[in-house]
Amino acid sequence: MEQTNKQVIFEQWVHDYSDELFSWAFHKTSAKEIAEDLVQETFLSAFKAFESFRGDSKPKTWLLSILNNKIIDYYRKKINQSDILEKKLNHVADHAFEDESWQPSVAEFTWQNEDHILDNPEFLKVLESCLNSLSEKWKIVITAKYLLEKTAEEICQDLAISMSNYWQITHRAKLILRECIEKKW
Amino acid sequence: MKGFAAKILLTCQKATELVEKKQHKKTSLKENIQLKLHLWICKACAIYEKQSKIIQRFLQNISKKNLAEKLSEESKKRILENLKD
Repeated sequence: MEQTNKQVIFEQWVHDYSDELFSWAFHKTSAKEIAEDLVQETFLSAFKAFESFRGDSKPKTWLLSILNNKIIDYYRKKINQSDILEKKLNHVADHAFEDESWQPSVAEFTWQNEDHILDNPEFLKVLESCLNSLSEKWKIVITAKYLLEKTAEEICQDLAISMSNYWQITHRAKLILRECIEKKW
Repeated sequence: MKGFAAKILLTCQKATELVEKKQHKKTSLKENIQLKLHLWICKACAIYEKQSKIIQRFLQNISKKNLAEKLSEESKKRILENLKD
C-alpha cells in the first residue's frame, strides 16, 4: 500500500517537475544526454531517500537541491579528468610570456576596438569555436561563475580546486582565447 | 618591459594575472595602484585588459543559453520505469 502511494507521488512529481529539472540541468551542462541522466539519478536518489523528506520544504526545492549536488559531482568528475589537450594548452599559455614580458612576436590587434563586436555573429562564431578548443575542465572553470551564480570562493569549494588554480586556469584560458581570436578573425 | 622600470613596476605576466583577479574578486589598494600604473605605461597589457573584458562578457552571455528545454514524453516514461526496479 505504501509502495503504491510512493509510486503515485513520484508519477506526479515527474509530471510536474521533470521539465524544469531537465531545463536546469541542461543549462548547467550544455548536453542533453547528460542532463537527462542527471534528472534520472535525481529521481532515483529521491525515491530511495523519500522517507527522509518530511514535507518541510517544497518537493521542487528538495529535488532541485539533489540535482544541484549531482551537477557539482559531474563538474568535479570532469575536472579530475586531466588530459593531453590540457598539457598542450598549458604549453601554449606558458609561451605567451618570456621572462614575464610579452613575447616579441605579439602583433598589433584591433578587434577589441571594434564597436559592438559582441553583436557581430561572425565574431561570436569565432569565439565559440575558440572556446570549444579548450579542455572540458577549463570550460567548466571559466563559465562556472555564471552557470552557478556563485562567488569565486564558493566555486572553488564546489569544484574542489584552490583559488590560485582558479586564477591560473582563467588567466591561461584567456591567453589562449585571445591568441585563437587573433588567428581566426 | 626591462631594466629599471621592471624593478619597480609589475611585470606584464603579473599585470595580466591581476587583470583577471580584479574581474572576480576585490583587489587590494596596492594591487589597484600597481595595475593602473602598469596599464598606463604598457600598451600591450592595456590591450589585453580590453580583450579580457570582452571575452568575459561573452562568457557571461553564453551562459544564458539553454534555458528553456523540455523532456520528451518517452524520457519521462523511462524515468518512471527505472524507479520501479
